[in-house]
Amino acid sequence: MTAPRNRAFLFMALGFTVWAVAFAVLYGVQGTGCELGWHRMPLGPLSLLRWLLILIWVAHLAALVWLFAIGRRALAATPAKAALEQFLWRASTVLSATAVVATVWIGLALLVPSICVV
Amino acid sequence: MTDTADPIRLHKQLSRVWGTPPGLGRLSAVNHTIVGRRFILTAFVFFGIGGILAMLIRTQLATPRSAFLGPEIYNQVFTMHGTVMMFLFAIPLFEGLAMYLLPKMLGARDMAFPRLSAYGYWCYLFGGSILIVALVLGLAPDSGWFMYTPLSSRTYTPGINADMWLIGITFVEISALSAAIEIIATIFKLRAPGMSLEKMPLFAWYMLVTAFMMLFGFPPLIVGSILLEIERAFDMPFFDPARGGDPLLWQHLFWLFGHPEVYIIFLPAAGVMSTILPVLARREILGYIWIVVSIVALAFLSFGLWVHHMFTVGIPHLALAFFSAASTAVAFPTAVQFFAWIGTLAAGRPQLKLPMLFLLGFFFVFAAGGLTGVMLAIVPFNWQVHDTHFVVAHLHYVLVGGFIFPMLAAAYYWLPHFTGRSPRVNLGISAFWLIFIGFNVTFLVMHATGLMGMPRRIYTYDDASGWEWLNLVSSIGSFLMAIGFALFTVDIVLQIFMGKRAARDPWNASTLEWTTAMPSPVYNFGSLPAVTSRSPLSDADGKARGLAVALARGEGYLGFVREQRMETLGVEVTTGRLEQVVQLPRSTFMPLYSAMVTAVFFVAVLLKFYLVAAMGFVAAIGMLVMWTRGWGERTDRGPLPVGRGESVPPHSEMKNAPSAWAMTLGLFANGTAYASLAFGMLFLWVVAPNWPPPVLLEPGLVATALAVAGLAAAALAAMRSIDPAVLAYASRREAWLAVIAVGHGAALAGFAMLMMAVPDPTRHAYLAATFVLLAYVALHTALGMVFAAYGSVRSRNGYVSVMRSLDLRIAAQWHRYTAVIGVITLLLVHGLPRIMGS
Amino acid sequence: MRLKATPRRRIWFVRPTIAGAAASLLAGCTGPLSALDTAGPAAASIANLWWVMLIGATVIFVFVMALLALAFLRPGIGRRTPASWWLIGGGLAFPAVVLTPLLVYALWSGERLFPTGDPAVAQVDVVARQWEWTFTYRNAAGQPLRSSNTLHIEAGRPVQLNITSADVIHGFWVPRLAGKIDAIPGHTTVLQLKADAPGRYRGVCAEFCGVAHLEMQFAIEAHAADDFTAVLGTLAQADAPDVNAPRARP
Repeated sequence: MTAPRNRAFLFMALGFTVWAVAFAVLYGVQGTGCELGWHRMPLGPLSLLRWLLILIWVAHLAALVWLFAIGRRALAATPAKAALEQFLWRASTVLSATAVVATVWIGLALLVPSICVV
Repeated sequence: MTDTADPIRLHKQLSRVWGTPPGLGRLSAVNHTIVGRRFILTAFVFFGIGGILAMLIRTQLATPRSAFLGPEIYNQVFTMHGTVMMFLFAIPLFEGLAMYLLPKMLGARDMAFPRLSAYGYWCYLFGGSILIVALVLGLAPDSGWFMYTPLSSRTYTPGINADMWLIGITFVEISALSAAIEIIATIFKLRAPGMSLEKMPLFAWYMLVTAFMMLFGFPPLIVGSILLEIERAFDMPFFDPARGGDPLLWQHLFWLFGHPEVYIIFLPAAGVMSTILPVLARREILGYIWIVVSIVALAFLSFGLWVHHMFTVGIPHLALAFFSAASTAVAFPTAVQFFAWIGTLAAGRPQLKLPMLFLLGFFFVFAAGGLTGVMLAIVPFNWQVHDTHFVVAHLHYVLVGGFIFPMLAAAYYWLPHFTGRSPRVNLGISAFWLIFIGFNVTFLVMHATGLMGMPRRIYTYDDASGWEWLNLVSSIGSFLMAIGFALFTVDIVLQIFMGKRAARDPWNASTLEWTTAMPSPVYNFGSLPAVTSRSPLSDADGKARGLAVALARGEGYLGFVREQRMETLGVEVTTGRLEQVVQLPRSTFMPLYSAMVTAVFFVAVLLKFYLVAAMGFVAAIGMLVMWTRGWGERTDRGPLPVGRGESVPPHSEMKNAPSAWAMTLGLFANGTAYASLAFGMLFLWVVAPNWPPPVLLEPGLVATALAVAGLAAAALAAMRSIDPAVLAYASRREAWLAVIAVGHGAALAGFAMLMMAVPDPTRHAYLAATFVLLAYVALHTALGMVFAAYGSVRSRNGYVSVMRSLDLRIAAQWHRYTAVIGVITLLLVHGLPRIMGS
Repeated sequence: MRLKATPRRRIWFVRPTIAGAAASLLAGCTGPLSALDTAGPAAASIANLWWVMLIGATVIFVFVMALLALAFLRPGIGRRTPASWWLIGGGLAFPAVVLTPLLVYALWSGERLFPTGDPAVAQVDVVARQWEWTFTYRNAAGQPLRSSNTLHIEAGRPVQLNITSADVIHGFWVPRLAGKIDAIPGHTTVLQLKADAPGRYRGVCAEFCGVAHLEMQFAIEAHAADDFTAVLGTLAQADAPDVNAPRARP
């Protein structure tokens, strides 16, 4: 049956697709939020806009960790002799982990810089 | 069927079927070897033109206040240098190399869509020629190779120069997109049986990822170019801030393409590295799976970097920080490949042969370029050196180091395969040193030139700025480099015409292309191999010869000619399991004629003969439809024997034939174009000045209802039309096809009514963007009618049955896509004014 | 075709190139438009960043070239090195160790270069057009004042520039004082800078803007406090708004 292998192949692209969505949503919300003035609305120590961005970031991170877990489980369930499946699930798992790191990496940007121009 | 033990008879039979007629008949070639070589040769000619332009620049800048070129000419020269190198040299060169190599490496007889390859080549040649004619006439584009608005809009560039760029480049982009679709379909479906994904040569992985990047990276540029041309020709204000447009929209659309573009250029060269280096190091590459992972990560990450070309446009720091972080992140997958290569060299026994010399040149130059790239990713530093010669130095380090040096290595490595000859003289070593030393002398000091404040794109400088001797050194270096390239050209020409006969497999390689004769016969392999490992040449007695002989004797698959047809094998995407026989078209002039008609369309738009352009467009669609005339089966054939005791159906009786993939992949690109349009509308709404617009649309309900009903009817009828119960009867098929056509007709009418209700698209960007979105859907419904009509004709001529449903399935994808973007467009057109009005 | 092994020539080549480049950089650093000949805190911060990155990049470059050379001079030296050392050590750990502090420092120092929004800072409206610069000084009392192609500021005090364009995109750049920012029609971009000492600091248009892009040069003149008031007194009064301001967003 090739359907599970096709699924594994598709999975390779899924991790970074989530990263790309996170990136696009964060950038889009930042731009729109600045225009709407959400950075001037305080909510505790941070502005409404910064909380929103952090929330979006955490949500995508969670999705990526879940994808990584799925990949790891699938890899463990694959027999060692099935070279193609081993390759696809191993690659998927590493790519999901990499996407997690890449999302954390761009999250560094959420800490320091000012969200909107003064 | 042939006597499988007679390779000569097999060769004659295959050559007769696969060959191209001589003389003028060569213009009808669709064979990948011929078309690939054409791409490569034409690309090198454009490289020469771009190089001459570079020498003009360096001559002008060698001394202060030089009177060699005035600013008008200089602006055309540097714009064309960048444009020619990026669009007419780099991309077509690796397209040609991929086209030539992939079928041979994958164990196939040709690419998936030979006529499309040929059509792409002619579009490239004609589009590139438009630009060169412009150069010769002194009408070349002169706003820089990235054509920023408003400088490139009609007010500030009233002449035809900018239109030459917009139209010429869009014409060439057709070839890039068609190549991308074909490369993916070939890699997915046309591999030799048994070549599952993890056994595929790394070069194929690189090209697969690159082609996907092209699918998603080129549409934003195409959309931007079309919008700018519409603005210039019809005054619809997408980029004019006074009327709700925004110059930044152009920058976003351009760089959404522009950044992936440079990785699209780098990755095939990295693929060359990963292919040649292990062979010359006499050791399998380290970390196959890590490299695959790095390539995929690099591809995705590269789409998140584009704003680093826009760090100085006044965007808030958080946004800049996202792109700065992503730009540094891309160093990781690059480093993984870099160290995989060095590790392979360290673990092997590297030979310092000529291609290796150029690979070492890559390491030196690209490492330096990558390091300055990390510097440029740092926002504060970028603010000083953006738009200076520091960036010019960086980009040449990464492009020359990352692309040119590996391609020069590829030239020497594969030239014996192209020509069957190896060199008699060693001019290549001198060429290498002249290029390497000349390059570094030119561009190393240029970093300092930029830090000393010399901006880009100035035609001269005074002697008080402190830049004189820096520029003189750069210019001297450029002459050394030019001599080096000239020597390389001489060396290649000598090898082609006077080289000695090359031994088979001169490098002791491990990939399948070395089992063909050299130069390669038009059909590649006498019979196709069954692959069981990553290094198929090691299977057969550890030498290419064993496998080559077996294949030539017809012991593999398809070691025969069936009914004078050209055939290769189709496999499952992931497992490589044998699945179908793919039948390919013979040489034909249709691609050339279609490209000529397409050229009529583009030139007519350029010269503003819009009636001729409309006729040309219709004619081009008609010609493309005519490609399939007489092509296909009138009866169900069922499984056909393919050798080695196996039988599989022909592709026309399969649901997942390569052509079905072509439509799917084409729709990915199309969808990206639509997303760019929609993004443009939303971007202008949020960011552009002078919003809200003076007038908000209230789209008519009748028109909307007609559109929705029509789209739904077409899409649902399309689903019915491919149901086996319907496919079995001609009357039922044709009835549902008629419903599709009527549905699209109704939708077309609805969208046309909505378009006519837009009061004055030149008044505000909101009106212009709405108009263009509606026009996009209207075009799709019109083409949907063409698909339905075509399906009817095919059905009536007996080419359609339950088994042979490809034509209708492919069209069904289109109808579903049109319905989806149609509904989204209606939501946008209705929803946006409502949100703005509240 | 076999070549004579020439790895020694390659190593020989690397050091003189880098030494030559370094020498040329250090010797030729001064200049009226040099970003390394700094006269203000913004440019100074960036120049320091540059020197740190240059040294780091050189060290990394030499290290990587040395590894490469070793692979040729001692064939098979890496035969027993685990692949993970290269792929994970070199490919992942090494960039992480280098890039993380660099990125964090870059974000932190970049943040300090952004305009503070302090209302006490003097403000000047800058309009770029093909091919000149116009500066409108928002005076505390009375009419705004105007000058062309020379921007007068008070030395030692920050000034906030609100920059736009009347036609195409231009770039405002005074390398000795600060990084550049684009002048974009329909938008206002903001740049804050300070000159440490009185003097004349040249500026160029840094975004290609047409045939006379080269000629669109300007200068910032920084004056001591008393001179500054006197100079302002000599400037013409701005009679009308310079360019139609983009309609404010609701």
